Amino acid sequence: MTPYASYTATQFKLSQPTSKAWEGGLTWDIDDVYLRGSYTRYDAGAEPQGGGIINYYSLALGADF
Amino acid sequence: MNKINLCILACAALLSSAAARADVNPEVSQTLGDGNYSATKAFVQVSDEDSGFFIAPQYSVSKSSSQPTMSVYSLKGGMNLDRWNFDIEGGITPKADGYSNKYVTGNLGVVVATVPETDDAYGFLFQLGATATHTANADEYDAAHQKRSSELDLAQNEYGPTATIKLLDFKLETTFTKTAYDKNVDKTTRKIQHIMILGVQAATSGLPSQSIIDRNLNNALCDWFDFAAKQGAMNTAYFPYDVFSATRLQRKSGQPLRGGPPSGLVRRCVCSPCGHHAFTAAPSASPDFGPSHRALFRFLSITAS
Repeated sequence: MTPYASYTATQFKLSQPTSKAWEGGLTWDIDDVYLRGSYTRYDAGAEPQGGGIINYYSLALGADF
Repeated sequence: MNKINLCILACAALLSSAAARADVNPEVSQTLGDGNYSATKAFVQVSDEDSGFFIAPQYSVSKSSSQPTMSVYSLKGGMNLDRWNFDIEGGITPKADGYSNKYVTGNLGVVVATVPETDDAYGFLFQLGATATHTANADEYDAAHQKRSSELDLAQNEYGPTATIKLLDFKLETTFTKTAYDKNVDKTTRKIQHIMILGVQAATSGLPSQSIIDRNLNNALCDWFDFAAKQGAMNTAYFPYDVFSATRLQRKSGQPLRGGPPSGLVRRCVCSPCGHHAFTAAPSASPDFGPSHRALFRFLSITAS
């Protein structure tokens, strides 16, 4: 298993507060196939979807042949 | 047959001819989030190790309670060589809720300094580069969702430097971008629909002016322990199912170990998260050594190999 992380910050025009996104994930390799799960916490700094903090959960299935 | 189907067929033909002699990496992912957000992404990357060439068509679709269903079709291609790499990606977002875009982006990286990894030494890499993206946004609505008398065509240009440092397989990539528009934007301009966040297809965000992305902090912990083990500072590492436990050994006389663990008292195991070897000692088989420090890290789950 391989952990990874990322951080993204974006400043906007029109005095909109800075948005920030933190992501952490883990990739699990099984021979040629891998499964990756990740969690992202997105602080939009504004009200893009009715709230400032949005949580995302992602699952990916891939292969390397 | 529309342009999108023609493009898909052309990509499929290109990929099928290339796949016969190349590495193929297909992936499909599903993301769920607050606000009824859901996104599906699928791509396949075909690469040739000999030439370093790769090509990757991608399709993604996302929607939420505040965003209509939006699709992105893109095609990426590039070269990864020893001293430099580049890629170009182009894509379109077909019109949804009056908004559409077309974009092209390019990345270039040049290795400034590198030390190859060998059995006796860890590798090092420092790379500098640049990124640039041109997006042609078209929106029929304003911020109040009132239909405009004429469609707003807004050109968006992002550009900036990138830097990559790789040490002990610890890799940090940083990208800084500035954004410029060809028109003055104001509060009547609807927020741009797609702001890319790693791990999330897109999120309705705003009109960006600058951005910074740090990513790929992978393998940092296990590589540090691997490095410490090779330096003799840490001679025992245990890998239980949900706890990373590291024990620092010292001679019972109080003198710390130098130059790596003595032969006969250690065995090598594979650190399963990163695939690297780490020295592992069995304390019961080592009457001359006892633990001096122990650290537990519960935030990283590692499975015993």
